[in-house]
Amino acid sequence: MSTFNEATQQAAINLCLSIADDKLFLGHRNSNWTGIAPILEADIAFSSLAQDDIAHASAIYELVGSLMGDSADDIAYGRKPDAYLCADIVTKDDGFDWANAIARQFYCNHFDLLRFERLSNSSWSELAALCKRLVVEQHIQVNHINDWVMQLATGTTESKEKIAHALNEYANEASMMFETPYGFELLIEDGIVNSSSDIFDAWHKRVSEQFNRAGIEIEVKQRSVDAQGGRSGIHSEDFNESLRELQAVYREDPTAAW
Amino acid sequence: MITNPRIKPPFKDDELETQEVNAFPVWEVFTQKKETDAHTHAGSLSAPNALMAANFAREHYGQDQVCRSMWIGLRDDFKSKDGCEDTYEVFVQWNAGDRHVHVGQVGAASGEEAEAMCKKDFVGDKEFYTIWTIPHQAMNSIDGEEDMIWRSTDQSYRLAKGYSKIVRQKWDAIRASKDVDDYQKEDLKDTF
Repeated sequence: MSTFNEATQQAAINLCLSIADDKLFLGHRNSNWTGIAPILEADIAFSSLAQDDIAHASAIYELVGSLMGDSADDIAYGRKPDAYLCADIVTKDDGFDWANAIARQFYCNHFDLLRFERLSNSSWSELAALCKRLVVEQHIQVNHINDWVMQLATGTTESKEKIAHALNEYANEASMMFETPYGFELLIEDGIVNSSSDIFDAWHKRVSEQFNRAGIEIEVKQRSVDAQGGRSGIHSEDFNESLRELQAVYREDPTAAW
Repeated sequence: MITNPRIKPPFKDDELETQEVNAFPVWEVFTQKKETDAHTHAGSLSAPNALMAANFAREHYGQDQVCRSMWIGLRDDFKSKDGCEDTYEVFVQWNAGDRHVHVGQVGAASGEEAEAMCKKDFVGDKEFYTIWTIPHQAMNSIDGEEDMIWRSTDQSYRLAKGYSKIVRQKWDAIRASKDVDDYQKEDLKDTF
């Protein structure tokens, strides 16, 4: 088990929470499609991938739980709204528009893959080992969603318009995924993670490749350096609604055994 | 309390201009649990093309049990008597209601010829129900060793057996507490 000094430990906790919270809320939002996705096969596949997101969240909560001395469930469900560090794209309401769900998933999946790849080199060995495993699973999500974007963009004129519109709609929130959680610089200084100053460019390159493949033009701009949002615990109304829904059962009886 | 339930999604049937497609081609999926096992028919699905068929098959048929390899092909190809010169994968359904099981490969110029070769090489004088054949080229395969199908993170929540174990524990606990309640009720009756 790795040990950190207090400030570094808090920074490491923040980093893990930012990843796990992204995954938990994305999986939760996507699971809303269970039973009502446009075709049966997409319904089953999207639900299965949502389960993966929650499994990934769970694995990271377990890891951070060892630092926080708390159970994965309590960390996942028991915090106050501003202690959640997910980016608000994961909770942005899709209005049950399939193109929105695909756009949200597309941006997030590519970011998650990149993040796991980079954290596989972390000097925090437990985190690196976990991320190495998750990279392999995240590839499944990325391949799946790339093909969906391609499918919609090359389907009918209407499906192309819809997916392009959705990708534009989610572009702003996507850029906010790159806000770093509090203390991230400390992790770089301490050599726990490598500098990530080029992560937006790396991500942008990958999503642009897919836009080219699908024959659509989407502009995603980098956020302004001081823009604060979900990673700082400052959340949208969509997040609050999602959190209320997520915590509803847990709050009935936080001590219940599942 | 759930203040804003999302259980009633706003269906927008009238907004779509594109006609709904009800006739995607049907694909048959075969899965293999262990390297030494034969590929066995897992089920079918509808998908617009081979790419999406593979994506759907991975989630639909690759996650209910360990899966190390997957073959996906068009139902029409499995059943076709036509075809071209190729190596054919051949599958036998021994009894009605059984799953088709991969029995081997034959070189043939058509589905019909492949079926005849399959009978000669793999069936002999045994009873069987139906045979499916498919040119190797026409089939998509996913090798789970290189391209993960079954996940490495904890997937026990997907399995029915994990669920039933937990449910049984809960029932046992409920029955145990009911026994105690009944005992106490009887006990109170006797006492007063």
